[in-house]
Amino acid sequence: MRADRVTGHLDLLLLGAVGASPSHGYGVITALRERSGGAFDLTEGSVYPALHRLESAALLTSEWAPVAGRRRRIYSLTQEGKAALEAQRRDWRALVAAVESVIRPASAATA
Amino acid sequence: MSDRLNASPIEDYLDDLTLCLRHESPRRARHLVSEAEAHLYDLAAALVSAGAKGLDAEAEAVARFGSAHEITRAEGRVAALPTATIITQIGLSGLFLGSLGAVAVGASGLIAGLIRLIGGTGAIVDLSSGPPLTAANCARWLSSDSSASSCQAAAVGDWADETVFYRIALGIVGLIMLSLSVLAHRVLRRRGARPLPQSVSDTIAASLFIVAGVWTLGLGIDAVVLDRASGQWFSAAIVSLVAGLLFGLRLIDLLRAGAGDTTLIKKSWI
Repeated sequence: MRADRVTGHLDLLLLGAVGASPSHGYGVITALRERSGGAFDLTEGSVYPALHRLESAALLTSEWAPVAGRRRRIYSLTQEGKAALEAQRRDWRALVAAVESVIRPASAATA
Repeated sequence: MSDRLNASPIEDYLDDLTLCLRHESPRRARHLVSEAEAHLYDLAAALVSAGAKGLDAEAEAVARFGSAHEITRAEGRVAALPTATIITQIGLSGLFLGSLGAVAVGASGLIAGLIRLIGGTGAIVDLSSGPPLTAANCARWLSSDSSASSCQAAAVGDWADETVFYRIALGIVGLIMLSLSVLAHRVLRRRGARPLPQSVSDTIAASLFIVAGVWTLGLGIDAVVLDRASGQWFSAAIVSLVAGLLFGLRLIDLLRAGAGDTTLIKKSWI
């Protein structure tokens, strides 16, 4: 999938990945790739600044913890982050439904 | 240092990243480098598991991570404060410092009142500091001070009253503004808003108070040399210089502690 198609929805993807399970940056990137069947193979250069931006916006919080022998920064959702994720999910579903209703083949729409 | 570390693309990259992040706060830079380090070694290990050789895996991990300059630029955009935040910070700090200034004027009014009690009205103001003694003015001053023996005495008494009570009135307004400032700070703080970094607001406050203190002290000395009333100037100079000194000492303590502004932005000022 083209990277620019992800850009507008990067926050939703990151909030969704971290919301599914608190994780470090590498874990988030891996989870996004695996859960999307390889469609979202995001670069570190886009993911880490986005994680930090979401943390600055108080949607994520992070703490350092040893995982597998290495000190890692684990991100988790804040209460505001959970609310933002829910709101962005609703927006996304509304967008998908609207787009779907437009692009649906005429035969399917009349059926 | 071992040869392995000397030849490590990841270590080279982390060196580059550390250099690029030298303008960030030390804590933020350390955290970014630590996070990158953990990520790069995780990715390199995963690539080795997939069949890549050690240094090739490291080089591939570094290549995927993006250049240190790009990462630094992207992180710099994250750290940059939005305009609305800056305006809020200036507003909060401006209200707080303005309130303090008004309270300081009120305090100078109290000192002026004390000087008046000790030295009399003539110790605060004299005829050189007021409007001309026109017939209309004299009638107004004498009507408000029936005990005055002359227009000049009534005028000086009126100006002394204004010097003391107008300042105290402004001080009371300052206290109200200060309460509003604390309230605004608490309400906006819940929404993530912060005042200016303490080092910035302390520098502004110390500079303004010291300039005001030196200026009014000079006017007071000038008045003494010219044998005029100096109380109105010295009362302001005392408060301004003490306030400037307190803010200056706090600023020095802050700078000695080596606290970075990035940390201070998150600190409560009030």
